[in-house]
Amino acid sequence: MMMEKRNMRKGKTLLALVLAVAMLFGMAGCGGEGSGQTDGQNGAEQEGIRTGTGLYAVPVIKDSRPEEPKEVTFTTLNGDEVTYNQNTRRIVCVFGSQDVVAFGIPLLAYEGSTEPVGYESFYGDAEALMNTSPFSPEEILSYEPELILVNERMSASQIERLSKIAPVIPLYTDSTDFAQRLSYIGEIFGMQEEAQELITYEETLRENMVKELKDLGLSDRTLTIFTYLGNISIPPMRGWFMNTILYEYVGMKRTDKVKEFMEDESGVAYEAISSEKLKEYEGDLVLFAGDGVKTISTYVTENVGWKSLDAVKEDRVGVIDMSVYAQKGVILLYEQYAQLLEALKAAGKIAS
Amino acid sequence: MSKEKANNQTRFLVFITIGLVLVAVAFFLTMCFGATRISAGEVFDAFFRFDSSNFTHVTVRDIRLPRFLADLIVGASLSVAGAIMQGTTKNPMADSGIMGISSGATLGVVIVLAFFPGAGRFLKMGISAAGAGFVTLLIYLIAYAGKGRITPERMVLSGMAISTLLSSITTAIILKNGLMTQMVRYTSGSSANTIWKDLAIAVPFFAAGIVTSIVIARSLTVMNLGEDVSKGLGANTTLIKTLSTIIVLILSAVAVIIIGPVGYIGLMIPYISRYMVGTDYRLVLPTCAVYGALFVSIVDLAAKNVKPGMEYPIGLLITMIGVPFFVYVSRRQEGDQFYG
Repeated sequence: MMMEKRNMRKGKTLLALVLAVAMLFGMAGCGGEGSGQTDGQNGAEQEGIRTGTGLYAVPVIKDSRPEEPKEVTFTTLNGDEVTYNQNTRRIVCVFGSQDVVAFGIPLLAYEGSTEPVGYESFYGDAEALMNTSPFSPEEILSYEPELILVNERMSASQIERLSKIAPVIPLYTDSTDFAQRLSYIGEIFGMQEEAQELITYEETLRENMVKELKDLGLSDRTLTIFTYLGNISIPPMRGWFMNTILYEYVGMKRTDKVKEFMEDESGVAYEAISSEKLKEYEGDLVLFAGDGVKTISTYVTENVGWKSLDAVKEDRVGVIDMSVYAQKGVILLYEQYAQLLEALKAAGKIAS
Repeated sequence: MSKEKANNQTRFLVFITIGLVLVAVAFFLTMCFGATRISAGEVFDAFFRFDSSNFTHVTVRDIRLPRFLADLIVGASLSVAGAIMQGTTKNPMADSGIMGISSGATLGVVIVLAFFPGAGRFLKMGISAAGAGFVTLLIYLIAYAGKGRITPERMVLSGMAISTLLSSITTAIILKNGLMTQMVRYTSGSSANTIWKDLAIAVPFFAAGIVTSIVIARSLTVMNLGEDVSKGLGANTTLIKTLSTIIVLILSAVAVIIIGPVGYIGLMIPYISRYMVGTDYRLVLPTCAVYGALFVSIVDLAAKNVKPGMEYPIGLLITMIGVPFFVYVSRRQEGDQFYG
């Protein structure tokens, strides 16, 4: 009897332990989506009203395609010929939805890796896919799509798997050339005019940013973006769209040392820069890119090397949220440009 | 006094002296070599004619010195914790990493990164220490839940099981919250970001852990004779075990918080120390502290100079040394001789 009671007590203890562990799992499950978009656009901006910065939000485009099915054959970027209904509304987009929804094209489901916070109006009733990398054919099948849009890096074998569900077209998701990205989508859906409108928007946004920086006297200055991911480092050129905007689109400069660091793909990404050497990477302008937040970590502000930077001493460090630049897409551009402009003004000690 | 005991004490004095001299050499080298080369004269000036506007002086005093001290604390903490764990569990393979305590602290850090991204150092340290404590408690509870008394084998097995479980939870949180890069950096281990504030938080716990371990060193030696014999000699085995557990917990947490979950130090250094000075914990623990500190400071010196200007994770270098050592120890049957 005593033995049984003792065993029951032990059983309860173990049960309590299991529950505690389950709670931890629950916490993991309920965690915030770390890399979602932040501070999206308001309704007025979405209608294209100009803001004081010279930047303005993406024009709202309505899906002008007729309802009647129209079978077309299209040659994809891979050279494959795909036959599909060009007017279909039954589309699942596994990657690159941020360009597609700009055309007003409704989606059944889109990549669930990022939450479209601030951009909900573009997505309507579309659902986020639970599985994106790797995708789940069963989940995609459950939407009974007539067309599946995927990323340009998807392998031929994966495309073949998905083709058994519906026609598959890869998008230019890696390309930083918006004219190429958007005109291609325009061709897929027979919406060339709308594509041109979006291309013009992107070009104007870029030109306005260049003009703005020139007017502020910042365009010929060198710029360094630091980040903190366990150690202070510089985000690599590839993979972070703010680098493309700043150094390619807008033409900002960087020191040779920074350029070498950013473009060196032989080493470890985000290689930790010694606190003793941090100053050697400082440009005329300094930005700090927070990971999912628009603040500078205390691990950085208390770092002796960081404190030695002129920009820090003079309190002129611009701060951005790096997660905003994890994705490329025409609907995201306004927020991406506006945040950079604000941060560059802070870095140049120019009042907003 | 037996001849062997006297011999061990002589060896202890010799090895401790050598160890301390080598720590002094490591200190000098660490101050001079790193991302940039700093002359001995400038190092001297940094300590005795400090000029806050001179970044070389700042580098020596506020970057290299706290980092060196952090290395000493981490090395000493993990080595002493490992020695105590091996003694109380009578298992030569016991170490805070292998036993799962590090995985608890790591889970704590991941929780902070995922759910409190703006948290400061103190909260991170607190939750990490709570994670280590939680795991220690779990290890004991699970080991106790079985029939009969707690055995070293049961402790190790429950530690390994919990470690695996917590690693899975940690991985789930990392993937869910996109913390891959940060966690790879953290788990690779580095003392590069140490500042004086870290030491101010860690030193009291470190000092308490080391002092208490030395106080109970004699009892630990007696415990090594076996629980029944120890009780027969009047030792309060429950108290000693409890204190040992608390010391191991504190020292492991201090180390993991400063440098990350670095394994193998607590395995290698106690093993070597016993080889040097025998099994008397009054000699083993100080030897562990000195040689653990020396080992980590030398490895960190190497890590800083693999690619000057960049920080090579110290944990990777230690693992590269630790794994072959682990294999060696596990194959060596004579390992049991220390645990009679």
